[in-house]
Amino acid sequence: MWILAASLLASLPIPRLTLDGDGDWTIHAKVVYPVSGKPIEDGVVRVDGTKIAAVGKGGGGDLECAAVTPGFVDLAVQIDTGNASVEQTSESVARLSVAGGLDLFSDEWRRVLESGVTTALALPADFDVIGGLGVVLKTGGPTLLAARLVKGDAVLRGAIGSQPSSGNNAPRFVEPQNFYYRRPTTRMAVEWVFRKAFYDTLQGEGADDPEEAANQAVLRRVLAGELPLSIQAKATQDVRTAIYLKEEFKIPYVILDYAVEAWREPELLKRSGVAVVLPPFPPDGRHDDGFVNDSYFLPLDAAAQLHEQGVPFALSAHGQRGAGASLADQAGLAQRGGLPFEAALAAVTLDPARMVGVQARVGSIEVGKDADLVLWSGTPFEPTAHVIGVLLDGKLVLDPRSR
Amino acid sequence: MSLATVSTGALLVLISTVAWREGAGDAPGGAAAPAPKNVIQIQAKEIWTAGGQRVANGVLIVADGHVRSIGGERDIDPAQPLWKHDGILTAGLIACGTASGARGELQDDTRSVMEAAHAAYAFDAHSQDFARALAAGITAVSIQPGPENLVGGFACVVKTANGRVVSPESTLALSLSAATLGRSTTQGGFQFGASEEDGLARADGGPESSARTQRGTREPTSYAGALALLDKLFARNEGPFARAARGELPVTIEAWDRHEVLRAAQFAHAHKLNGAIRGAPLAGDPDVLAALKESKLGVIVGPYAADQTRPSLESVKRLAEAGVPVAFALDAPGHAPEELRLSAVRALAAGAPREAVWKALTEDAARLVGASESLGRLVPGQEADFVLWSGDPLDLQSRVVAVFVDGSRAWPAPSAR
Repeated sequence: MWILAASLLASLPIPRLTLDGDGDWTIHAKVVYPVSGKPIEDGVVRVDGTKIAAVGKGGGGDLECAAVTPGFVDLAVQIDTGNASVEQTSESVARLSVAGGLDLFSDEWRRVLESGVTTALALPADFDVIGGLGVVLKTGGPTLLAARLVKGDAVLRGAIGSQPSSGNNAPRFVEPQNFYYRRPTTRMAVEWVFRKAFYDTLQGEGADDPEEAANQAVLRRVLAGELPLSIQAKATQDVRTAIYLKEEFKIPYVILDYAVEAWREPELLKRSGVAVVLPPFPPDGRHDDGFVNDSYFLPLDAAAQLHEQGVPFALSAHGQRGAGASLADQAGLAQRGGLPFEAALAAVTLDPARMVGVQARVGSIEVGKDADLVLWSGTPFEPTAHVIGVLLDGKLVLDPRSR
Repeated sequence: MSLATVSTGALLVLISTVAWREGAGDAPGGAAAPAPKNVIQIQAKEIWTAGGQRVANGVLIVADGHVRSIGGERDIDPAQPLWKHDGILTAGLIACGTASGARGELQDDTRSVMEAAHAAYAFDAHSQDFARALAAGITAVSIQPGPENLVGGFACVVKTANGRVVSPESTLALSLSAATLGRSTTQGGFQFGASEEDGLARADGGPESSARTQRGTREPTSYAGALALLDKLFARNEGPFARAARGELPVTIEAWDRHEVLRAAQFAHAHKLNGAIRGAPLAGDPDVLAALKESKLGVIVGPYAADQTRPSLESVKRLAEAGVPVAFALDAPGHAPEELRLSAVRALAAGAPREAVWKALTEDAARLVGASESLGRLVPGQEADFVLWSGDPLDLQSRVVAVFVDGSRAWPAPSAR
């Protein structure tokens, strides 16, 4: 349907507008990649205020470039206040939101914005089994969350594996001195805490405590499918555990984040209907976990495999920002592993937007959507092409004319 | 020992510029000795009263420790002695945010919430910190609980001359700075009081925290957890929280990084609190400024170091332009009292309006520490705390000639005779 609409639009020439304000641009590119439709050669995107006003074929523009793609969506941007982003006095704090602990003044936001990421999911750090709510926000604009927020309470964040237990101690040799003498201390106990939280919610156990009641209210939204559950699950056993949890409690919507070894369990992924966020591709395929002595393997064709299996997935930079490690670079690496270009582009735009329910506003170049655009010097994700311009909500935040 | 033999320059100025008009039976310079009815009349070249008002050749009349009037020649009571000061007479300076006489005693990291604690019970009234502050023209200080407690208890306002507590519950101290999360900032293995480098050091002069030695002993560990706990306390609507929410008790919220200041301002706005942010070196940031303005909080900045960053120094200018009241912290005993006036002059040099800077040292400071009813201005009824300066107090070459507290000369000490 939208392909049809886009091709109809594409046939209409768009008159060039004169520049009459900060938010009004006509961008002409050799190719416009709307993601929601076929690429438009000799294409034009017209921006009116903060929104996309028209997409089609046409002549010149205020800004010229080789290609235009939607702004990227990173579901693991990892710009947070570190340990202060998650409340660790309890291993399950579903009621708290990372919104209370963001630092929008960090220079990192500007860096990811200039790499083309215009929308991001911010999550609490993974030191709790259930660490609280994540929010989707724009990576630029005023430093007030209200101005940047795309979706509050976008996901509930949990973590399986060794990280949520990595700082905890068992009171074996000494009297417990602090709250890190707590469950869990092993993978099995992490899983136990996770299941207990959902069991207690189903039973209403402990709900006379107002904080626990608030936690359970959030878990009930997860069980009802109103709120996606994002679970960090790196190793194969963690991927399996997360899927078993989903199936045991019939959780409608689960995102496996940092799922390094999800590719090892294609049947389970398909059966359970989970979505996957892949971590960045390391040069040698190995992901070493700094918190514990875990090591996982991510082949370059992991994304291609998921694509072939029909598993919904997104690529992410997961906090990496060095040269060659941006989200766009991940799309290029996934292509080298055999992922088709269209799928690679969708995996950094519309697919992650859909996973967190913000596709009505971002993720593709369509009339009425937010004017978040990335301008390229060549074919997107090619090693010789660069991001030369970025528009965020119609505002030119990286000017291609100054490059 | 007679006054004339005391060889401090300041004192000599006092003698040469102040003289009895009529012999009132007391020796020159003996203003501390009670005159009849405890009345003092001082004529100065200029008197800075309040709200930017300056009275040339003004006469300050003090009775029973309070300002009775400020007027001109015709107000002089010939039956009373008159002092003449060939310089400027202003209200005493007020230093906010200090640990004078209470180094290391103003926080307790075994718990998060100490709403019933009082800084007034923690300081040594005979500490040299007070005498030094007095000599620098500071007549009152606000002793402020430290940043490590989410709720640190009550700050108090103290006279430097005699350690008198003007207000034992002047403001309620809250902290939304990283230091309050400090005990749990770093995860790790077994720690038996081992030192941790947890990144608490601040680029722009935040509080030094001892929070690096332990971990995981108390909540909260996160900003979201801190807000949730504060919300819970304010929801109880009792004790100091109820008084603060009704606007009867100002708060002072520690917040340093811009995101912390924004969070604190939004929290205060949501709970309709009044008072000030302590810290906020980059309060001049447009978004922070907008949030501060909306919250109606003031900001207690400084002390400013010689290598203070430009944006930090310029924040006073931006705050003043936005109509946000500012005051200066002293942070004694880690900082010398002279740094209070020095900080003000540094803000002035960075473009802050003169009037705002002066108010930051006096009446706005009094307001932000909840003492404006009795301190900070030279208007009838206020406590007679004032300073005789050799010249403009915002000129660092001007010296303190004499300091009066509660209508009596407190420095140089009358006992020096």
